[in-house]
Amino acid sequence: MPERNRRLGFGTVAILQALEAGKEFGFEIMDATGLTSGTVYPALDRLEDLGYARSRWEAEAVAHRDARPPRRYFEITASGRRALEDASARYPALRAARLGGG
Amino acid sequence: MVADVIHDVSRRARRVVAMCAPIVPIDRRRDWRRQWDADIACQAAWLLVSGKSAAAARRDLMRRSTGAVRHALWLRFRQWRHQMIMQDIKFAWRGLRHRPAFTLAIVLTLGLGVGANATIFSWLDALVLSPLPAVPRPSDLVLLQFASPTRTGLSFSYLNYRDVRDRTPDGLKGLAVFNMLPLGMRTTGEPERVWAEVVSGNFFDVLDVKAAQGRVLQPADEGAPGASPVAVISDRLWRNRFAASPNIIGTSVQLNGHPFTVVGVAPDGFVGSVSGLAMDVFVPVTMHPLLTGRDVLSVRGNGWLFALGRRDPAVAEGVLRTSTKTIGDRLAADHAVPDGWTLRVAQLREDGVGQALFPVLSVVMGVVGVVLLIACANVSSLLLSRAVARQREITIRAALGASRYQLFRQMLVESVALAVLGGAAGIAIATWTSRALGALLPPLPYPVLIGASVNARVLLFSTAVVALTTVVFGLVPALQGSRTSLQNTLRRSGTADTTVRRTRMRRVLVAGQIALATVLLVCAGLFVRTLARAGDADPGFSRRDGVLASFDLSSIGYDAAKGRAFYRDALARIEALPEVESATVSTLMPLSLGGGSDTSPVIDGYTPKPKEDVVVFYGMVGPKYFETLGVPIVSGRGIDATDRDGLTPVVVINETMARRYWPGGAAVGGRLKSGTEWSTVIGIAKDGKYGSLAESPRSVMYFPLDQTYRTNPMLIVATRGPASAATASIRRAISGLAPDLALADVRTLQEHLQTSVAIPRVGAILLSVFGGLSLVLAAVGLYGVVAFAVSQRTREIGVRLALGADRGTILRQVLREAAWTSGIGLVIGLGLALAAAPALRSQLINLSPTDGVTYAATAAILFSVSLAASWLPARRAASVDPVTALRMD
Repeated sequence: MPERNRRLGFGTVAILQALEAGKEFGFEIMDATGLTSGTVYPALDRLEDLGYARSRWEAEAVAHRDARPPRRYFEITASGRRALEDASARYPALRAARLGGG
Repeated sequence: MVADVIHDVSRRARRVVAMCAPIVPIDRRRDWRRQWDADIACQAAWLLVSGKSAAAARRDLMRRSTGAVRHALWLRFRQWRHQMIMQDIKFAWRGLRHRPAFTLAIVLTLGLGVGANATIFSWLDALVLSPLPAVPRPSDLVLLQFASPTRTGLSFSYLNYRDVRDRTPDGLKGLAVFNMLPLGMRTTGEPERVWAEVVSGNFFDVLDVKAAQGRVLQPADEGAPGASPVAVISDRLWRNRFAASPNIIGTSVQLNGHPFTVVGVAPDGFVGSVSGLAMDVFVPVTMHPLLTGRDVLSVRGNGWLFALGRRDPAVAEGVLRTSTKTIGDRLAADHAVPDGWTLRVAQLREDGVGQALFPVLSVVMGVVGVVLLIACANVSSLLLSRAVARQREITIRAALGASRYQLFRQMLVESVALAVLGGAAGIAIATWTSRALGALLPPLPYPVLIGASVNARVLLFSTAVVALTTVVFGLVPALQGSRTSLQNTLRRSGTADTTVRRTRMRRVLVAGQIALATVLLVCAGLFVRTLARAGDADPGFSRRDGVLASFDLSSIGYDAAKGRAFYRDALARIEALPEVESATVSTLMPLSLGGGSDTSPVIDGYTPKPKEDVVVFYGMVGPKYFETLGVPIVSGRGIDATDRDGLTPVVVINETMARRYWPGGAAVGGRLKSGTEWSTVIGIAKDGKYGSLAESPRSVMYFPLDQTYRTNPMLIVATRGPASAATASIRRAISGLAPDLALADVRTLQEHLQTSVAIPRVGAILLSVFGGLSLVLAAVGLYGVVAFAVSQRTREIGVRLALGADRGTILRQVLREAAWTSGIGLVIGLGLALAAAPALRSQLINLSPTDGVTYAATAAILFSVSLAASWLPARRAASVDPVTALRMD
């Protein structure tokens, strides 16, 4: 798994944090972070490239039951959590939000 | 039911996604669509469930779906980043580093080509494209000039200028005048010559140039003649001559012996308004009489000032033209200017050194363009040969699934990498050569601005050249190289189709190189022969051993009476020297860029035809002028010591003038009026060349200096034997008489003659260098092609030798093929040269642009060089060992 020690931007870290908080798909993360969809979707793909997140497709059966197409769900990985720890140190505002929310 | 509503509110959002889908890379497209469609459908359902109206839901979905555009673009760019650039660049870099000789050869070839172009362009830029450094918005500046029916570019007298300025043409914000004037400047110690511009008070306002220190000249400085001894100096003079003294403002300097106060320093880079020349001192035009000892301010007839105006960009150019013409016509109606003269607006670039050098520079620019083409052809050829060598590798990559586009892209990236390296080398070369080119300039009596440097425009130009180069040299090999034939290559038959095709392509390139080299060498040859002939060309005087020097008596404050006495005494002292045969003073020296001026005399007994333009070149000469220079008097007598001030005014004219205005042949004894006095023609002198050896004959008048006093003639001394030996004694003779008088531009007659062939000489040097360079490049190209063809055919040659072929036959065959290539290039090149050479006609002295000797010699040189270049590989072909050749895989 590619793990590069990159400095993540504020937006990306916020998205990572939303993933950690259990948000699972694009629009949900958009609402949780207040970022635009044009920022969130590429960032999710990039986080997957970096190995900080992984995605899976919703089971066809579940989606079928709700009469909608299957969604692409994202979740944070272990290295994603470590990256989030490192990054939170740099963004005190996010850390406060995390602690407050936790 | 619910599904239908969801479908309806999400329609537009889904359409956005559908439209963006083609942007997404193909391998991701299906999943991408699914992801967005699903998210939109879920959101729509949730919005409706939570009780939003359909309209609100639509708006929310539209807002969210706009991100799909960015997402799609991001994915596409990510793919490009990943696959293409990095991989290709790394691959290209590795490839280039592993073949250092090949890379170096290409980078150097391109570097020379780009460097030559950037160098010449930096000069074009400095002299023509941006001729007035540190002047804001130079494109708004225009020149106002008079034009007669036969001549344009006629200058203003001060009175005419004031008339036009006070009537200010519509569309002009202001009109200033200037002229250049050499001055003797003294701060402490020896007087030194500086170049000054005498300018109207509004000069700096019109140019919109502000002072870096102190103030610029103002309209108030243009007061009564001699009333405002103030000067602005250039930044360059302030640094070099005054050591950047902080107390410069208010300092007093002596200019031609008169005290002036420095009131300001011009901004860094500002060198005046004479394009291509650098001026150091700026003084009000009304100080001209004091500085020169002549009052030309109150004379209306003689034009000597150049008018420069700033356009108001808001007013149409047509308005300015019409208004200017009207004002000119009114001047003509008031008899302020001769009948038939019109006032017109001219572009700034129609004037100055830039204009004189522009034809030369544009020819040279064409030449370096050709050198670059040849360099490109060589690089192309090298790349083609490498494409052949790499064919196996490329074919294997193709077999492993690389598309033709990928292979093409890979090769193009390699070319770009080479072009970038070559361009960097070229710019490095140009930073050095653009300065070195200044050394090629002949010693000129003018302060030519040697300020050419590599600036942003030059860099931009070089980048464009590099980009163009890449396309020219990189495209053909990339297209050819990416065309693969799996079977042929893997079988590796040495005579595969592609090899033959590529060799043919390279032969075409080499023939093209030889053709272009031929053109350059023919032009170089024409200039070299012109130089050789310039020595034989008749400049109109026969003296060859002599000394020339400039000086100005106003710099030591002599009045006319003292000046006349000085001329007599100085010439007597100099003629008494044993090394000296005779000596004179004159404002007119053949083959000079300046010295004389034009006037319109009234000629007794000659009625100008309507609209005829009587313009005659004239100068003032001392006694023995014609003897000293060796100008034959064909009728009457020359000017001698008896033609003194106060006696009957006399004039000597030249043959052209005598023929034109006294067609009956009775010129001697005739009369003409120049200025206020009638002069009697006492003699006719043989025609000469006054400006350049290539000029056509013009009418000339010689007035006695004693009768028409001037303070700044040239000293002309004819010596017995070598001129340089007499220089020191001449200096001593002058300083014995006037210790403060500075002699400037002391040079021998031979050196003066050299200056007159400056342009052919620069042409000969540049073209020989570039022609030689292109010859070497073409020879290397030919060598490469022949060597490559031989190496590809080693097996075939081996077979033929084994079957009993004669080695001589093989040698002849290879040479014959090379000779065909170069022969075709040569014929095309000679044809091109015949078409191009007439453009040089004005620079050739007594030489036809189709000079047979030049063409024959060029052909002989090129053909021998091509044979020599193909001889080595041909020898190698003939000495192939059949056994080794046949054993080859």
